[in-house]
Amino acid sequence: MVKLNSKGQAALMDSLFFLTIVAAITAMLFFYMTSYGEQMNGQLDAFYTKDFAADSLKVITYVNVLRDGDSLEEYLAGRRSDETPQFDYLLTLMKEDYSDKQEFSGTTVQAIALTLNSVLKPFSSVDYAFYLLSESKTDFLFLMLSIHEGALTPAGDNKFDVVYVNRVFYNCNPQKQDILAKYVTPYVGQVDQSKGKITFVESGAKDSDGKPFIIGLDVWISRDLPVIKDLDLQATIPGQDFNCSEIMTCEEGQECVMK
Amino acid sequence: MGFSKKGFIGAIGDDLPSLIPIVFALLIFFSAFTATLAIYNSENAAVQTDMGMLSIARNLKGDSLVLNLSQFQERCDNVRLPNYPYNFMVAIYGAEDDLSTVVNDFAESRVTMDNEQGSDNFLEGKIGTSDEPFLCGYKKLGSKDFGDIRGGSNNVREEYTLRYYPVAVQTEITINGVDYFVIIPGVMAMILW
Repeated sequence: MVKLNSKGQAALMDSLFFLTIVAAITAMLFFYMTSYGEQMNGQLDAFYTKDFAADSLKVITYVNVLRDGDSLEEYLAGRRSDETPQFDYLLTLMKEDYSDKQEFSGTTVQAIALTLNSVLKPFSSVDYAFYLLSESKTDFLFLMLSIHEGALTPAGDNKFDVVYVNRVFYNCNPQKQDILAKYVTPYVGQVDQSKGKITFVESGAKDSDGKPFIIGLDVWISRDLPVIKDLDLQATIPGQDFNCSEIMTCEEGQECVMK
Repeated sequence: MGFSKKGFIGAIGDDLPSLIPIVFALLIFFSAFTATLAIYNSENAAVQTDMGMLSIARNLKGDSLVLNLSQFQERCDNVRLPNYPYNFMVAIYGAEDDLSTVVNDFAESRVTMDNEQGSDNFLEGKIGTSDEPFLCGYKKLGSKDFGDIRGGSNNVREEYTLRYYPVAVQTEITINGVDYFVIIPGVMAMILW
């Protein structure tokens, strides 16, 4: 009876098992390699974007504006020399208006829009909401939305050409404080929020009787969101819930135009 | 019954065919391990760079208000201690400025511990009676200037990280012969390589 030598076959099978195990380990290494650092990078990006929103809010509260609500850049660029300007802090205008009428005048609203546009102009890809919320009431003291609006034209093969893209500022007066959380925040991806506390005092009241408000800035990467596209007063629900009126339009490379 | 020698090459010869998959497996394993180690080191370096940039930016911008050029330079001196591990340059632009030239502006600029030569596009502040740019930076001994790494060479890819931060800058303006101090919005651009 002839016995075949099976030692060589056993060694070959062992080596094939070894190859299989190494292939599995290599696949795990590749999987680890592709995902290493993603979580840490995500956290670092989150630190940056949170810092960005906080810094923007601080800058808005620090900067000076013209008391007539006009653009400070006009004076800085030397394009207005007809009269001595009056500068002040934007917060001062807001507090004076609240003290008088518990709402902001058209001049102050214009100054806010111009300041927001100036501070966040270098970061042109974002939309944002600037607001003041009362801690004791259900509505906003002030809400301004700055969003991109534009038009596309078909260019064949599911492609589109941009006709125009403008930045439009809306002054809104919604009845409920959760309107951003309800119609905007869940649909625009990551929203970086920065909030602070500020006190406004009514005329004749003591400083200690000041009313606390939350001043906030929500920033997100611009998205085409139907509810935001339709913010005119004549818009259908839910755009109507925002109760907005257009304040200013800024075309790229040109000066902003007040409505 | 004797030992059959059919198909028997030898003690080693019989195992030679099994060496092929073993060698192949070892090659695959060590290649993958080397590639993983390289990516691990590269990602760690990138994370360390981002954390360094975060730290520098927070120290330089403080509470996002720059009162004057002296304060800016003082904050910079507090950051760029000897043997600081990163090469960086920081400059402030006006909010209305075009930021598309930032990388070229940094490439044209040179910084040392005592002197800065900056692009005309940077915002300027007063030191004494002269106007100087809001620019500061640090370069490790033996490192190339940022402009030289962009000149690029050969097959080595030099990377840099660029970020922008909103800041408020107090500046002096003259209107109708009267000097005013006003706080204007600006952008602090930082590059690290």
